[in-house]
Amino acid sequence: MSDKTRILVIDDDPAICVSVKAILEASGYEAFTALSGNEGLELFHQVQPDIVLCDMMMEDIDAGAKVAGVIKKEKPDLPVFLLSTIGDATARTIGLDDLGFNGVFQKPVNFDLLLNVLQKHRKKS
Amino acid sequence: MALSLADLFRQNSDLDVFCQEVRKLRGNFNLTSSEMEALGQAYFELYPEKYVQRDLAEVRLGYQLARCCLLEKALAGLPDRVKDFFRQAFDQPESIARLMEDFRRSEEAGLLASSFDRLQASLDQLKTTIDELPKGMIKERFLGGISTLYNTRYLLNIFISQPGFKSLQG
Repeated sequence: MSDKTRILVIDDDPAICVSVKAILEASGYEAFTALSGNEGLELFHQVQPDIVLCDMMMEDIDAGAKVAGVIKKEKPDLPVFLLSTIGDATARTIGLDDLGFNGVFQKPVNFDLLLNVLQKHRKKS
Repeated sequence: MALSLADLFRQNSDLDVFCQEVRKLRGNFNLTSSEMEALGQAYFELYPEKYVQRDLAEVRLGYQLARCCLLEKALAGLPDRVKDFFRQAFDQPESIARLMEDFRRSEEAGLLASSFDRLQASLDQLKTTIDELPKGMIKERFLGGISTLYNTRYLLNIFISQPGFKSLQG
């Protein structure tokens, strides 16, 4: 297994997955992508990521919350971030902690900010 | 009178055909918030939104629809060869390193930085327009569409800022 920090990206838009993966790999991470919540959970068990980035609306409108719930039940300390279009105001009112997310990044994602946060969770070499 | 994008989509609901027709307009179309809403309505007439067991293929068509209109509008006025480069880069972000290497050997390489600045400004303007849309699924598709363009823009910025490429800008 690589020493690189492994990030699982779950988003129903293949173009988002490909572009986020390219940015993460250019930044020294190992990235994996899944195109639905169900596929994301399968890949989560296969690749054992260090960090998960997950969209909210996929096969169901709250698929991301379901994914975060399952992951947090199995690995409560694993950082799971929401990448979403829900808007700051909505994010403040829906209780991200209760849904299992460690934070939210609004789309379009500010990658300077996201990479800064990911750096704090990078595996120590 | 020119067709609106919504009318064009109703006439060409095959997305590949629609995007080819949009490309032929060379950016000479309106993409105000009203136009975005009208196009979104035309899309949802064909693919009504579901809130459980959503058809992801239909959802993805919505992102693609938004993306192709946003990109063609953002490319308006750029040299054709530069437009082609950007279209390829936005279509294959995983191949940007190779595409940049090919492009830096072309005669138009010196136009890239200034064209990229114009493209960035156009994308920011379009994002502002999307922000004006009322909350809802039309806005969600356009935000999804522009998000990919912003992601790829971030990657392009990394490569264009590299010293080897900057030296070409004169």
